Amino acid sequence: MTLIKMAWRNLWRNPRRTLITVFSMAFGLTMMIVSYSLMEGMFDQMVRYATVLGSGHIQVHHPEYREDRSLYDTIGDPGSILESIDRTGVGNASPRSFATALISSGPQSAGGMLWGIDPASEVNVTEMHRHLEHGTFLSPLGTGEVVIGRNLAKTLSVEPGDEIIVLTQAADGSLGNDIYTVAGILKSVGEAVDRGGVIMNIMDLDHLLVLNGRIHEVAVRLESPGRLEEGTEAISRALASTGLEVKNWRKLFPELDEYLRLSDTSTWIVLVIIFAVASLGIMNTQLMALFERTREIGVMRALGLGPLSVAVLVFLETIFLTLFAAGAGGILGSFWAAYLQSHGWDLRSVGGSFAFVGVTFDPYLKATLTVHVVTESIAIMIIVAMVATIYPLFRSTRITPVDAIGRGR
Amino acid sequence: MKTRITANRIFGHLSLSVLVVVVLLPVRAGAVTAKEILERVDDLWRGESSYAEMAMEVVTENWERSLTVRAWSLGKDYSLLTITYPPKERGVATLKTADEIWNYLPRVNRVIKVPTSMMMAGWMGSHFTNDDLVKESRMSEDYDVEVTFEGNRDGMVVYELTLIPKPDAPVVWGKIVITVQKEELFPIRSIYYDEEGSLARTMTFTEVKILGGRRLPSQLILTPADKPEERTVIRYSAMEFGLGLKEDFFSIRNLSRRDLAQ
Repeated sequence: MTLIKMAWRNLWRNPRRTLITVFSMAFGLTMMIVSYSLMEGMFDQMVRYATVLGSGHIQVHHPEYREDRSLYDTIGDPGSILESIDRTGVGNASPRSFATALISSGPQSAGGMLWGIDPASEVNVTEMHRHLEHGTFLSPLGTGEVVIGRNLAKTLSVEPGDEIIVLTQAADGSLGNDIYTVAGILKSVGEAVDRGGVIMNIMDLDHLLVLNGRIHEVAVRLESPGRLEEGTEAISRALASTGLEVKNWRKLFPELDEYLRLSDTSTWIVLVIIFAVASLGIMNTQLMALFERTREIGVMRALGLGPLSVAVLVFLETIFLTLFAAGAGGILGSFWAAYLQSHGWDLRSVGGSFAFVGVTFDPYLKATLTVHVVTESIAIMIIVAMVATIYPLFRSTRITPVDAIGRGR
Repeated sequence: MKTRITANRIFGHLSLSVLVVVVLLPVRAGAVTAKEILERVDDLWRGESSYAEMAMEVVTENWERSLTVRAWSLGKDYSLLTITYPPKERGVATLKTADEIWNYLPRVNRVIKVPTSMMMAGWMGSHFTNDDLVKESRMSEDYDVEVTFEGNRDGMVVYELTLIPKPDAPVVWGKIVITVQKEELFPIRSIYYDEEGSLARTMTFTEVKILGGRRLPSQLILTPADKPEERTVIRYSAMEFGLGLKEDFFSIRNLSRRDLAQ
């Protein structure tokens, strides 16, 4: 008890030194929480862009469809497939069809990819309808309208309300061509869609391609994305008799999956390095404090304080410092990260959007602040601070009264 | 940036030009060099206008269909094709100018330009690509040509010409081997190899007939090497030469003239 009191008093004997140490540690912790939550945010954004802004968590295809995306590798009875998935209760499903096409408006034309979707069920699977730059999304019952990617809109110089012409080869070999009204233009959702995506009602596409009710894909959004493997398993079981291929996003985007796995490790390494640098400061202050007080500690030793008690004293001081820093840094870092979570960090002045493993990212970082980000950061800081204090502790036990008192003269 | 690919242009205009050109070659026995043949082909082709009626039959693993097509051409730069059958596609037309392709779609009454990125796509679902229509470069400019065989083969006296692209030529093929019947200088077969040297597609010329006052092979069969069960067959049913068409005939205005298909 006396030692705690002594440690507390010792800290405030030199408030400037104490505050500098606390500030440097708190600053390190703040930076750690902010960068950790930004990295988490980036990973979340990657998964988000890859799933709810396009593919869904799980996709069902004809087993050969993904290889060369042939018009003819279709799912024959979409109604019963959707029903089977519904019955598993793991999430919402939506049918899709695709075709490559020539898209044109006035003198401009470009190659593109037609996405036939069911607007009514698609809104429960992806968030594309909330990701519009201009205009509106497809209405649930409306036909003859399309929503297109932003770069395609630029290439064709069209705005909502304009018409585009679509030319493609139908499943019976005939020339499918029709005219559609642009209802909306998407924000950036991924390179392929940005550059050539034309999203239309699946009924329109069925008619254009003469698919006679066949479709190419069923996309599923899980109620709990964290239970990805269980959900995949449930749907695979439900569709086992159909011979269709069921794959989740980790299998659909193996590069992204691998990247995220590797990143988890590298994030930790980066965080430990950030804090290890800050901890050199801690060690330095503690050592300086110790040298400054050598004489004083010598007197305490002469008055009968054991070397272990001296070590405990120094240790308690470190604990106080760490707790102050954890409180200050934790609060400051959490507020900063929370701000970056709600407002994002606009890097557009630094560079344009970038593509990574086939997914486009806006230069707009958003933090993801979770309890484990803060607790893990504080835990790392405490561990590093404890490690940094080992050497000063060791030095403190080696102070002998005679040398220490003698040195002051 | 994708370079515009220009391939062997002899088979441009759905190979109409081949026929025009070959027929115009003076039948001369003996000492014609390979280069001379190709250069004469190029020179004779230019300025010549023609009209043709043809049936195109496309067979793929998923569907089969037949079209009838009318085609006008002028020199190496211009051609205009319009579909007359089936009714669903009647009036769909393609205009090829020096290096652009435009399609007219009567259903939506619009003209659209085929972008560079779609040049290797098939024309109207056939195995002929848009690029086959566009290539305007001259074969003797893009390829080094040599007679690699001369004599009797399969009961016919033939020349075999081998074309290897010149180092910088913007072409898609790695080699073309053309077998020409020596007496009348008709092509018999063209074999296309890709840049890796493997067989890409084969075009066969058969059914020699008199059309538009000239003897020429009236049937072309194009077979892709990777899908041997697929093919596009073109049969010419009528041809006229020397129509005196002018460049202004090959306009976007005429492209959308539905009466050309009537």
